[in-house]
Amino acid sequence: MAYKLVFIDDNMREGNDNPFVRSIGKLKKEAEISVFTDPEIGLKFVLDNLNSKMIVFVDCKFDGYGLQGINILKQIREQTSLLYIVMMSANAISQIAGLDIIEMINEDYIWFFDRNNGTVMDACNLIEKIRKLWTTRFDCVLEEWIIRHPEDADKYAYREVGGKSYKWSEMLVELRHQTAIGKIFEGMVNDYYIYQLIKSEENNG
Amino acid sequence: MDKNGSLKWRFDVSTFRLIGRDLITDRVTALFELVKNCYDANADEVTVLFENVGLGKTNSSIYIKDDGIGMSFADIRDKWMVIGTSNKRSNPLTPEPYKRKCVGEKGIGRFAVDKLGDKVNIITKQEKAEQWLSVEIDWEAYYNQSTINEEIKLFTDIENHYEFYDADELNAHGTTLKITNVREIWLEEDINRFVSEASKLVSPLANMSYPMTIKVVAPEYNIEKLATKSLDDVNIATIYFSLGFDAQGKTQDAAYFNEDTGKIDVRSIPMKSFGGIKMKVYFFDEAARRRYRKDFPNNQIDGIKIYRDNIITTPFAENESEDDKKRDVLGIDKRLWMNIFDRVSTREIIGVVEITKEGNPMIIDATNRQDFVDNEQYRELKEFIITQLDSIENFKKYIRKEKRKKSNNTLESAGDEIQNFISSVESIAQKNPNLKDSLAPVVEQAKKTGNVVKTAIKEKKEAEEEFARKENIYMSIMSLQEYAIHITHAIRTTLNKIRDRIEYFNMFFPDPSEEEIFKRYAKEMYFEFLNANKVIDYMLSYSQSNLKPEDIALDETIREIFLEYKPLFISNGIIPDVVIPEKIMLRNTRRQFFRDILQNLLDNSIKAVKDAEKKIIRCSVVVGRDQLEILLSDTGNGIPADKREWVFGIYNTTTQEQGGAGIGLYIVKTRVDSLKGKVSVVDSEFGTIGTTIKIELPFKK
Repeated sequence: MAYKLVFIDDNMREGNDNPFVRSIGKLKKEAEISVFTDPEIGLKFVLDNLNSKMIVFVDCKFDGYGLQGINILKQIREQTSLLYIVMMSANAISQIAGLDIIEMINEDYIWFFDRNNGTVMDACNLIEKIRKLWTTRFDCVLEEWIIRHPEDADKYAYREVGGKSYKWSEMLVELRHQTAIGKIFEGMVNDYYIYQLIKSEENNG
Repeated sequence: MDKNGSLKWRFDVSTFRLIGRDLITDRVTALFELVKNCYDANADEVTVLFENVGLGKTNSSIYIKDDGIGMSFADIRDKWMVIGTSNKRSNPLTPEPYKRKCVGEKGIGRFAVDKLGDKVNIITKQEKAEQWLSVEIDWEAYYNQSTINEEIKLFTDIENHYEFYDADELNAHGTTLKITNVREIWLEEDINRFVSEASKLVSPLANMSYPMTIKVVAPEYNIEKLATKSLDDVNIATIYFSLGFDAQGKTQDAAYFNEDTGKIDVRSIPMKSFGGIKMKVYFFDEAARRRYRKDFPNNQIDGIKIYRDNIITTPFAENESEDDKKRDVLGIDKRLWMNIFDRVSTREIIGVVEITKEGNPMIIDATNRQDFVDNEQYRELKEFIITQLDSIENFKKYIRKEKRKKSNNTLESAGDEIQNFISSVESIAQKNPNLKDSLAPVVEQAKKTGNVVKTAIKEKKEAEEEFARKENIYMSIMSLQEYAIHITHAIRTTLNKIRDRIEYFNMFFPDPSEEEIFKRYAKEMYFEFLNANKVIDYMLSYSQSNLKPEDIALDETIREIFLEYKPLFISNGIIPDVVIPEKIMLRNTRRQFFRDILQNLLDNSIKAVKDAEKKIIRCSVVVGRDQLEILLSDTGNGIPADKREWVFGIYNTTTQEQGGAGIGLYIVKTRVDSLKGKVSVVDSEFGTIGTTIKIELPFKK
C-alpha cells in the first residue's frame, strides 16, 4: 500500500540524501519520500496533497523562519484533522513552550519523535504503528476497496436531494479533507451497517 | 402601543431604598455615576448643566445631556425601570463600533438620580426613531408612599407619565436627564470637585478612536469647562513616540533611541510587507504608573492594541474583562532574549497601532477572533512592533545609567560646596580676627560634615561596585542559561548529524552500490567534527589566559588578522583594504577581544559580499582626541535600516541563507561592551550598497 512520507526540517539540507531520511527510505521501500527545508514550501506541498495517504514529520523549530512547527500543525489542522503528524525536536521536550505542548496534546493523530534519542528503527516502528491504524480507518478502507475494485471508483456513492452527486472516488477526497459532506457520509455508512448487522442477526435468529 | 400613557416601577420599597438611597451617599458620586452611563451609551459629548443650585435659589435643576445611543420604550420599561438588570456584566464592551470597556457599575446609576433631585424628566431617542420619548418620574411621590402609607409596599401602583413627540431630525440620538427640585445645595467647590472626579472617568489613551468629552456649565458661578483630559494633558508618560508612514514614497517610520540626545528619534525605512501603519507608544516608569493609576482609576496600563479603521480589533481578547486573562498575542511579555532589567512589559506601556482594510489587506482576522491569521505579513507586523520597543528598552538602560551618574554628581558637589564653605569661613576669620574664636566651632563642624560626606561618597562607590558586581553575576547567570540552551542546541545538532551517519553505516555497510554515499557521509562527519570544535573553542575562549590585560599595537593586530584572512579573500575574489594612518598603542587591554571582534565582523562581511558585483572589505581607524573609531565596511547586501539594533541580539541574523547563525554580532557587541565602547550600524561608507559597522572606544593618545 503506497503512501507518502514527508519531512519538513530546516536541518535536512541534503534532501533525500539525508542519512536519517535515506535510512528510512531503504527500510520503507513502499513509501514515497519528500524532504523540505523551507517550512512554507513543505506546508504547501502537504496542503496540495491532502487526498493522499500521508505521514508528515515536522521539526518543531525553524531557525530564522517565521513559520514554526506548531504553526504548520495548526495550518494543516485547519484543513483536515485526519492527517498523521509527527512532531520532531532536537530539544528536550521541557524546552518547548508550554502553550505549544498544550496545542499538540489537544490534537488527534499526533506523535512526538525525539531526534536526540530516537533511532531510525524507532522512527520506522512509529510509521508501522500509524499504518496499522490505517487498516481500520474509513477513508483508508475505502481507498483499499477502490484499489482492488477500480471499476467501482466512478459509481455514485451519494446523491444529495436536488443537489450534487458524489462518486466513490470523489467521496474519498471529501473524507480526507474532512468536509461536512465527508463527515455526514461516514456517519451514515456506519449507522447503515450497524442497522444491517442487527437486522440480519434478527432475521437469522 | 398607546401614544401617551403611564409606566410603573416594578420593584418593592425595600430594594429601592437599599440600592437607591443607602448605596449612593454622596451627590458627586451620584452625578458621576450618571455620566458613566453616558460613556457606556457611546456618547461623544456630555454636557452637565447646573442651574440655580446655589444657596437660596429656586427652580434648581441639573441637566445631563448626551449624544449616545439613546433608549427605546422597551429599554426604559424593561431595563431602566427594573432593578438589577444590567446588561453590562454579561457584555463588558459597549456596542460597535466604539467597543469601549464599560465603566458603569451594576446598573445603579439610574438610582443616583434619586440622590440628586425629586423629579426627573428623561428625554431620549435612538437613531432613526421618529419620535422622542419623554418620561417623568416624581421620586417624592414614592418616598411619601413608602414612609407615610406603610401598607403600600410596591411601587407598581404609582404611575409615571410618559409621552412621545415628533422628532425634527431622524438622525438625532441621545438621552437627556433633567433633574429638578435639586435636593442639596451645590457650591462652586462642589462643582469643581465633580469636574475633578469626572476627569478621571476615562483616560484619553484608553480608547483613542472614540474619546468622550464632558462639558460642565454652571452660569451662576461662571463655570464653563471641559472635565475630560485630552491627549495633550497626558504628559504623565515618561517617554513616547509616534510613527507614521508615507504611502506614496513607500516608507515607514521606525523608532530608535538616540544615546546622544537621550531621546527616541524616528527614521524612515522601506515600507514592510504588511503595509504602512501608524503607531503610538507611551511608556510609564514607576512614578508615572502610580500617577496614571491615580488619575485614571478606571483604566489600566495594558499594552498595545491594534485598531483597524479606527475600530479596536478583537484579537487581543478585549472581550475578556479580567485583565490577567487577556492574551498577549503580540508576545511582548514572552520575549526571552532581553535582560530582565530593561525589558519592557505590557504593564508599562500603552500603545496603539492603526491599520486599515485598504492599506493592510493581508492582516486578516482569524475565524476564532482570538488572533489574526498567521501569515508572513502578520508575523512581520508582530516583529516590527516588538522591534520598536527596543527604543524604549534602550531608553530604560540609559536612564538607569544617568540616574546613577546624577546622584554621584550631587554627592560630589555637596562635598565641594562644604570645602568652599570652609574656605570662605576661614577667609572671613582671617579678615576679622575677632571672629576667629566664634567661627572655630563652625569650621570644626563643617570639616566633620565634610568628612562624613567623603565617607558617604566612598561608601556609595563601594556599594555601587558591589551592586554592579552582583548585577553582572545575575546577568551572566541569565545569559548563561540562554547561552547554555543555544550552545547545547548547536552541539546536539552536530552530534545528531554524526549519529545519523554512523547509524547508516551500521545498518547498510557494506554495499558496493552505496559506495559514493558512504564516502560522502564520512566526509560530512569530518566537517561536523570541525564545526563542533569551533563552538567548543569559542566556549573555551572564556577561560583562556590571553584574556589577560596587555599592551597591544592595534594597527599591527588588524593587519595580522587581515593577513590570516588573505587566502579566504583570494578564494572569494574579495579586495581587502586597510586604512590606518598611524601607529596605535592601546594600554592594558585584551588582544583576544579585538581578534574576536574583527574576526566575527570579517566572517559576516565575507558572507554578505558573496553575491556582490564588486567585493570590497575595508577597515579604517580614525584616532580622535579621546576616542578611537574603527569602521568596518563591505559592499555586501546591507542591513535593513530597521534592523540596525536588532542584529546585535543573539541568533538574530540577516544572512541566514549564507549560513549566518546570528552569533557573530552578538559576540562583537559583548566584546565591545566589555571594552567600554559602543558599536553600531551606520550609513554605509559605500553609499547605497553595503554595510558599515562603527566601533567607538575610549582612548587617550
